[in-house]
Amino acid sequence: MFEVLFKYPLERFARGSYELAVVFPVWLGLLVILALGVWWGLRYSGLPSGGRRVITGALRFALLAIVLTLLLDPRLVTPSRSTDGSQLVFAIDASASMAPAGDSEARVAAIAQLLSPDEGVGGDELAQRFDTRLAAIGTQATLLQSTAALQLTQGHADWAEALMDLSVQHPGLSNIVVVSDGRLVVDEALEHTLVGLRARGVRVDTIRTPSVVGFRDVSVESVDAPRRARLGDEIVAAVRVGYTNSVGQKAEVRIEDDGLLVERKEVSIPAGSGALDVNVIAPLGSSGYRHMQVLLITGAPDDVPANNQFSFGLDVRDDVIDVLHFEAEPRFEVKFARRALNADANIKLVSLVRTAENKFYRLGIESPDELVDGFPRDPAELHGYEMIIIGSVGSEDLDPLQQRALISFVRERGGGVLFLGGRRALAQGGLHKTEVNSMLPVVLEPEPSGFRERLAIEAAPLIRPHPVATLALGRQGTKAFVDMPALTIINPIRATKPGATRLLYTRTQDGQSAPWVGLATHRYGRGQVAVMPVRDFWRWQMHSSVPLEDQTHELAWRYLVRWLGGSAAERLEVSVSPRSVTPGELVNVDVRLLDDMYQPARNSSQLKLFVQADEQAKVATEVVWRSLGDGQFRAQIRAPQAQTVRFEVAAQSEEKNAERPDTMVAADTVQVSALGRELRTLRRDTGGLQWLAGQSGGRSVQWEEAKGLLDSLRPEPRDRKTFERLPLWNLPAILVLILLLASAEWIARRRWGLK
Amino acid sequence: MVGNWGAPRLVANAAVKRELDDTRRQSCTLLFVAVAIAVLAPLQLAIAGPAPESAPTEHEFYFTRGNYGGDAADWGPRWAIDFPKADKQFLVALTRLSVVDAFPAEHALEIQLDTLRDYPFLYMLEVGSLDMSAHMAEQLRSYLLAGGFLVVDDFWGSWEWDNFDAQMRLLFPDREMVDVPLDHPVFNAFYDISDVIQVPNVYQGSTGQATHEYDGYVARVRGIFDDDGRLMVLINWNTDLGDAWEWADHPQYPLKFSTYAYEMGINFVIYGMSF
Repeated sequence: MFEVLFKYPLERFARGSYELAVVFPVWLGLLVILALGVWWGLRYSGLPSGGRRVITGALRFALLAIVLTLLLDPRLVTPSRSTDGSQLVFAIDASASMAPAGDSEARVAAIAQLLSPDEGVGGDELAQRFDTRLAAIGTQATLLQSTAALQLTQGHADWAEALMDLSVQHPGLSNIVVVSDGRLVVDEALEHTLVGLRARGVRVDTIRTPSVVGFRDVSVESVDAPRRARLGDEIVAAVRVGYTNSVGQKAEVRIEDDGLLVERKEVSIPAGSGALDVNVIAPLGSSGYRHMQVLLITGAPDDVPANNQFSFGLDVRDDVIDVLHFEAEPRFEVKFARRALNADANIKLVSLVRTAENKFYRLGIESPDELVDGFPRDPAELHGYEMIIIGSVGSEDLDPLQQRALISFVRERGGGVLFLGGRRALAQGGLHKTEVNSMLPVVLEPEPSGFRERLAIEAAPLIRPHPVATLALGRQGTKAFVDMPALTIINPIRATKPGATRLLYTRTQDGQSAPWVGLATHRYGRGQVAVMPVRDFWRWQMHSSVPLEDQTHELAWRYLVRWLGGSAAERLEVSVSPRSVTPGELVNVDVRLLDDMYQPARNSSQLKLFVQADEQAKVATEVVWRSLGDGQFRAQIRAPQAQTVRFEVAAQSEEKNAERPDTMVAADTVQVSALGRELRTLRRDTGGLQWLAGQSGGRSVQWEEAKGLLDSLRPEPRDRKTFERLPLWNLPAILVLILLLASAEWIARRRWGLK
Repeated sequence: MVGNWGAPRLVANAAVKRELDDTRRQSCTLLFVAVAIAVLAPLQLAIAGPAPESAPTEHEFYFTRGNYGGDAADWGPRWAIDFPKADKQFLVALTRLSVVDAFPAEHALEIQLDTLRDYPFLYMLEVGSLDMSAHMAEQLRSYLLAGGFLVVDDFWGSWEWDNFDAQMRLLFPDREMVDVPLDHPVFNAFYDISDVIQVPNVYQGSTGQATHEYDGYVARVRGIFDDDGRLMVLINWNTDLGDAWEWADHPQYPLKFSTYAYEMGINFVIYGMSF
């Protein structure tokens, strides 16, 4: 009877609480009711029939209060407990790397044997414990009815996206069993997904599929190469060659520029499995966008020949590096630097030489006003250069404003600065007492030592294979220093600052070690600073032991300038990652935008993205630019179906200077290939499966142990306290009460003859 | 690549005027230095004693006089004419008027030595009787092609020219010796030289005689250029800058000749260290 009138059991009312769904100020309601009561009381209290009026009024008043209360949607809130967590999903890695040797059917059969020995995914026994599902993991999770529908042909597995899909689609998910070859890309997105799963109490176990017996492969796993270069540059392509079950063989790494062979390098691949890093220096002969390709040629058996090549785009510009060389006294270094650099069409050198007190000799200037007052004090005046060479210049030659302009040139402008040795230079010139000291990669001796000796220069052993050394020293690399004449150092530097790289060191002419700094460098702000405390670099060119046809001195200068000046920051820079993707894969388009004073831009409203697939027309594409701070913005876009996709970003310049273009444009490209990234690293077990399982307390097992793992899995029901909100406005008892009140008032009025 | 030579003078702006003022001021200073040399040089020479040992890494610049051997006149070997007084006095002016870190004493070197390559500036005079061996010619040729800069001075008339021309043919059979135009940077590297004048030897200059010797009536500044247009050899023909440096302290030697000689010499050094 109670439940007929009140819909819900008495017990619920006993342990429940009440709330109003419509938020309404209680004091206002009480005020309205009180006002009505006062009005009614004043009106009828003096009448002869006042007592009866009070009764009928109270009845009406109660009725009105009930209706008002129902309008606020009262609810009964009762706590309840529920249990879930019996869903188990088998997440099968369906990327191409699962069947690299074309043995997809055999792999699928083995997986089917493991998961469906009888009926149902995971077998009857597992199906009794769990609500089992099967999903193929590619760029997203695809639910399958059975292993018969499984195909290991997807380009790559996006585990972060796929696991998130599974989590959303299965509210009762308690277990995920990943079956994979272990070639996972562990990235930030995957970490975030696993944090979410862990919070839900979902356990992830992993099963590693067995290796293919006799499988052999060599591959170009990755290529680290610049995105931009200048005509005349030589790029260093850092090629990582992976090999699996190699018997020890010779191979050749080739670099092609738009199909034209530009460089080849022979490598010896050791026996076994592993990776080999090869630096290949390739010349660039033409400007414009270049389609570069790295090929690995080997005569040995290779089960996956498709991964023996790697493509990347390169934007080769035919513009000049503007260089300012400042000397506070005439030096032969000016002459020989000019001879070396003027022969390079992509370098424009301006020399500023103080020849007397307040008298400057300016070479290579374009207007009579350029540098007319000596070294600039206004940072903006230095922004036109990409590199500055500071020769024999000391604290007396740079006032505080000039020092700050130089620091700003590196830190904000992103330019490169090379400090040379000299009698007025570095510690001898008192630079350690100036603000400039903060930008140097070396520790200057506090007191000039009066040291003067001719020393040979050698490449630091640890730096030899480093691409930076190759860039700084040129195509001949460290070989260039073998027959180099001794040079003069009068500014001995013994230590570099933390984080600095020592590329060259010195030795005495008799071969004794004198490990002072020959060339050291570090990043400073957006730019790069190098110190080469050599007083007479020109002697390399003039020395009688150097043949006239020898060009190493000239090349060394050009490489130094191209290295330090060529990497100067642009106001608009675009880089996309990853540089090689599969169709549909997410591409990050990262932009760094600086204003005309090289300060980080604060908003992205001036950015426009144009996408060009292969030879098709550019398409303006709306994207959301997410600020990453410091003038950096990121947009994400899926790679279209094409071979090469160019992402061009245009930024409207806010300055009104007519000499500069109104719109800046920068671009980068990605190569789109059906070959997934995982197929490039077939030799590699990254430990990703152990990591994946470890994140949620699961186990990571080999294929042979898979059955045991499945047998051990048990549902782990999780109590969950929920609150049920039951509506009270439609209780039959309420209706009865309203009817009773209305009837009572009607009867009272009739009996007492009230209107 | 050319420098800014000539261009600033075409625009009459404040900066250029300031430069011109500087130049005038420097010229006045030069006169003062010449007078100072006139007074102090004899004393300096008296107390100088033997030349200090030159450590090749000591200074940025060495005024290196080329010792090419050859015959000797009554006053000594021809390569050593005016040596060392002219060299020393020129260095006094150079270090006083500019900030060149110069070795302050004479520095003579046999041109067939390999060590010549350590000194990219070379001064030779009396080349009218120059007679180089094949080895010497090859050494000088490679020195110039590697980046060395040779200044030639004090030879006169057609006969000596012919001899010098023949000697240069040993070095560069295919390179011509051509006049250096006045808008070339060597004429305004430090001082603006607007005219080439003939500088006489001390005897003719101080006695007021004609300034020429033999048939060398007109002073010429000629040069041998390399493939990039850089001056390798600067030839002062029918003029004697060295005497003007040496005898700037001579009361009767006209100041205008020594002033011009010092200006030209400093320009040669600045140019030689810049191009």
